[in-house]
Amino acid sequence: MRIERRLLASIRPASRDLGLTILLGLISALITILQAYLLSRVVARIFLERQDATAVLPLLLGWLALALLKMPLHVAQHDRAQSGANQIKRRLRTHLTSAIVHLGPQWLNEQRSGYLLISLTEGMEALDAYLGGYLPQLVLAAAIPFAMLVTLAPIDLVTALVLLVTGPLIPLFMILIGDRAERMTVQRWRSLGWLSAILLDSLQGLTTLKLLGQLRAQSERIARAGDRFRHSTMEVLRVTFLSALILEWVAMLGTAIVAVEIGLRLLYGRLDFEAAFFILLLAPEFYAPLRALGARFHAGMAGFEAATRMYDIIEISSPERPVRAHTAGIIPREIAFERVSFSYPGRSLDAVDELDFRLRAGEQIAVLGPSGCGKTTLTKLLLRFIDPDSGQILVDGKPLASIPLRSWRKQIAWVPQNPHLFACSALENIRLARPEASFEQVVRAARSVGLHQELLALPAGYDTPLGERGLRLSAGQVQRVALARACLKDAPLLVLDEATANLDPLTEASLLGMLRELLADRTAVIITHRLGTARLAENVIIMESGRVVQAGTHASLLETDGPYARLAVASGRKR
Amino acid sequence: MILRLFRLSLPYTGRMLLSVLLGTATVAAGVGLLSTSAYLIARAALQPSIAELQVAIVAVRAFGLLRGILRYLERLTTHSVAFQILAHLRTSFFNRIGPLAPAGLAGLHSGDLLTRIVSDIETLDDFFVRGLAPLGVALGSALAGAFFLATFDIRLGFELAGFFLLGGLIMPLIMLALSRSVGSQLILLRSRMQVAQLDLIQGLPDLLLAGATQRQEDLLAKLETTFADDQLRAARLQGFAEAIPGLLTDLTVLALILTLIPRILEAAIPGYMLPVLLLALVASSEAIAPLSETFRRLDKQTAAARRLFELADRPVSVQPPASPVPMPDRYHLEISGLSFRYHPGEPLALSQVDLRLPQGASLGLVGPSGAGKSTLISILTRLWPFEDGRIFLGDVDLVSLDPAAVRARMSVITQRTDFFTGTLRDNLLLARPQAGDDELMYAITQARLSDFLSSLPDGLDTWIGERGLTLSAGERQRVAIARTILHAAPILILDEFDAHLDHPARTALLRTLRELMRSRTTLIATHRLIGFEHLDRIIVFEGGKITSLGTHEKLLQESKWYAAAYAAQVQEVMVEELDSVHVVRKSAR
Repeated sequence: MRIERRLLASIRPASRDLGLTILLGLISALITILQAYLLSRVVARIFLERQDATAVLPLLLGWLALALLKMPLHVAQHDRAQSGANQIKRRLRTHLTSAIVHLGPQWLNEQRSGYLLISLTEGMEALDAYLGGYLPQLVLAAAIPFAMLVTLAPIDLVTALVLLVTGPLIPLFMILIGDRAERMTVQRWRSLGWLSAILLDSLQGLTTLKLLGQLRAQSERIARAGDRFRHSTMEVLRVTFLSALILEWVAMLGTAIVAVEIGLRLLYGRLDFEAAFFILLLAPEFYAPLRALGARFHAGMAGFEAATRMYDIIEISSPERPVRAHTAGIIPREIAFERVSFSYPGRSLDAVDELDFRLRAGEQIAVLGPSGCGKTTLTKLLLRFIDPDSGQILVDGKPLASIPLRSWRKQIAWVPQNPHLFACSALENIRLARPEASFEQVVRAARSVGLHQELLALPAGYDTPLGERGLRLSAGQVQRVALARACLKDAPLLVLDEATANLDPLTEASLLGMLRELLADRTAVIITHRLGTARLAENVIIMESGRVVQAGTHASLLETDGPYARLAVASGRKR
Repeated sequence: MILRLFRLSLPYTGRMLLSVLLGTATVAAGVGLLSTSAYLIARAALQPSIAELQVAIVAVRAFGLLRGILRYLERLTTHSVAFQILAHLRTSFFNRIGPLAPAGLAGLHSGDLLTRIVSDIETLDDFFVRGLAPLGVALGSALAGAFFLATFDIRLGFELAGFFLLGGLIMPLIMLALSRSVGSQLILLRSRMQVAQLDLIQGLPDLLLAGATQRQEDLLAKLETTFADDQLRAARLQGFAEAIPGLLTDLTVLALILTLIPRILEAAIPGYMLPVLLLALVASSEAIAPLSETFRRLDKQTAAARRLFELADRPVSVQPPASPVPMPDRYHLEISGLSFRYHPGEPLALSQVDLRLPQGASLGLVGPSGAGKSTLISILTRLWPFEDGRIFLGDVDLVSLDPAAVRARMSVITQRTDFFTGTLRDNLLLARPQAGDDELMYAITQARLSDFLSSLPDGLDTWIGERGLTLSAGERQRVAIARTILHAAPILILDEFDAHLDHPARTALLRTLRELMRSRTTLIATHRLIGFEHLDRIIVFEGGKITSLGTHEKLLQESKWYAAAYAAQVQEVMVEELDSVHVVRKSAR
């Protein structure tokens, strides 16, 4: 039986609930034993002693009371199991989300977000079956048969011995078949993956298929993959059903041996009917919890896998650092990159190579260069999504790494090339960084990026839900939402990463004035492909292949022969 | 909804009946096992000769073995029928939505479609396996059992029938009613949690910088609390549903005992039949055991079915004409007075568009994103229907032609070339299923893919797509060009084909395309202007209207958008080319 040790460690807060679940299960089993006892008495009295209804009525009423008790017990058992599972899941999810937040964007980049999402949602669901079902059943499968043996042994030792010998066969066969079932299950997942892949690219490529007149042919391909999936599913089921058949046979064999064995002793008068009937009623109940464990085995497996995946994520994120009291807004006076190098794992070339520059408070710097030259890596370093492999970034002479992340990021407003819209209203999306901002402040920010009228035109104005399920804005509009966020955040350091790339040139031109206002008195790093946007900053860095090839003011660079001057001259001429 | 699901199983009636029969036989064998066991010890207690018990001893073993085998066969049959129904459903669902795309599927995310065609269909498994067949088994067992008991006493028959009616139908329906709100609430909450999770994952950088991670975590925790409360309610209902068959069995046991006592005392029924009939009843409760719990989950299944049927029932938007006119052999294009809106009440996406494209000429459609370029192309390729205005292809009204035949005359390269799981050969053959290797090689050479091909481990048989080789944006578009060559259509349409290409890849691709354009009537929709200066004519779209048209030189003078966009793009290109200038200089040194 597999148990996730790290999960067990976090079970403590729910141990009362899970303990109650087990206790309730035991009480139910006890009631079953009592009911069997009462029923065997009733039957014996009517059958052999020819008593009438009034004579057995007290026994029957007792039996009825027990029968009525079982339903609330069963409901309570489910209730506690779920409540225990919920508590553990809540803790686990909290740990997992803070682990993801802690691991940060660079780690996320290396993950497949679909896979991660499945771990977080479907995996959590699978835990229900594991925590609320499989784990308590693991205890019950040991405790209930044991209790029955203890009850039966004084009544009839022979039967108790028969059960004691046949009982362990069930978990034994379960383990033997479980291995094979697991292999087949893997096979089945593979063909489901195959089918999903075919379906997904067929659905995403519907228009292409239609334009090429290939819908019919693709549908046949899907049918074939579907058949393959059906076959491998049936293979898994065949094994599962076969294992159920064997377990059933073991249980049946046990019951049949008991029935014949007590029958024969009855025949020779070595056992009375009441005890025999009691034993006959209990024999199947002896095997029931073991078989129930077998039935929950697969659901338990899925939960076990999910838990393992989740704890792997939690473990690689280093332990949470204590959140320090908010350091009062230190406004950095100077940021210096000193021979900073960084390369992404698995790539030989440095993304930035001995990067060296300085940025003083109130100064703006534009970074120009072709795609892949290291501009975006520079921002990631500045935002501390990644840390340098060598060299250091100094803020007022102190290493950046020594400043608490939170208070450092508080100083920065960032406008990325592809900002994320959250599943909330346009209003909430704009005041992401300042949830306490008034509606008027939000409107002012939206107005300054020319978004106010466009937002008013949405079905519910500023309250229109945006994001995945909501309305889709154009890339240019999304970028202006991010600019409005930055306006509202009002931080001393501004980082614009291709912030105007998705804007139409006419819209860009109309925003330059506003951007200039936003930049006044602020420290800023502006990454861009466009000279117009670059001119917002007084200083320029030109980067190629991870290195700075030219740096200076616009004026000084124009006078030196180099890429910048060639660029300016050429673009002036083209105009 | 349930009836419609039921109808899906009709073609498989024979095998469904077989599984019901096997299921009923399983219950019967279970009844046989327990009741012969009871008979065995009840008779033994009367101490007859052992010979009288021999039959019962053999029967106990036989029923035991038989029951297992019957159960095994029943499960195999039921599941295999269910999976056949599901597989059929999947293909027919795909066949239904194919003609809908893309107009009839607008607003649907492909993730949502996939959920429907995979998860929702899988969900229905429950309906066929645990709902439909067990209902039949319950009915069969009820009839057989009631008739059997009625031979002892008619009241016993009624009691058993009442037991089955309550446990097999009434309680399940009550469970269905009780769990309706909880089930759909859970589905709704789950999808909201999924969105919040995805926001946290994909929006993490934005959240970190906004200092808003804690708020997103709080939102998740809040959703989770509500979800947990609902799960708790669902768990209680599940406990209730699971306990129903047991309670009903116990109550019926009580009724049977009370009915049997006087009959036994007056010796109308032999006393040893009491334990026999009681255990027979207990064993028969297996037939109703799953139903209450199944019906509790029915809500989820009908929700899944509703999502499937809703989509399958959508009308096909571009209906082919009843008797299409034969295709023309000339391919000049004329559009007059074309206006279009995606949905009634929305602003016009195209307004009063007039244009002419002579055969063999090339036309550029440019303008800011959302200006209507791609809309026009969707209309020309008959993916969206149009009403206002007219379009003529080779002087024939486009509406009177078969849409599939029109598409066969057009090769379209879009911004995202789709690949299908399979080999490179499979993906090329899509454009011309009957093409031989020599034709494929010709197309590959023409598309300048030869070097790429020789770099592949298995050549044409290299696996691409999901979990296969990933192609760069430029390579993808070259494969699209190879498809176009194979397709050999007289009209070439490029729809933002260069949106995801970096500058060097785009420049190289444009060189290859130029040869293709020479022999074809070409329409190019793009917002990247550089490289298209030589086009015969360029049209500027803004807000669904044609605002300027003419040659590159003319538009530089006359169109404010064109001039500004061109200047901005020239700068971008120069920044991009900094690197190559530098590299060239380095190597010259």
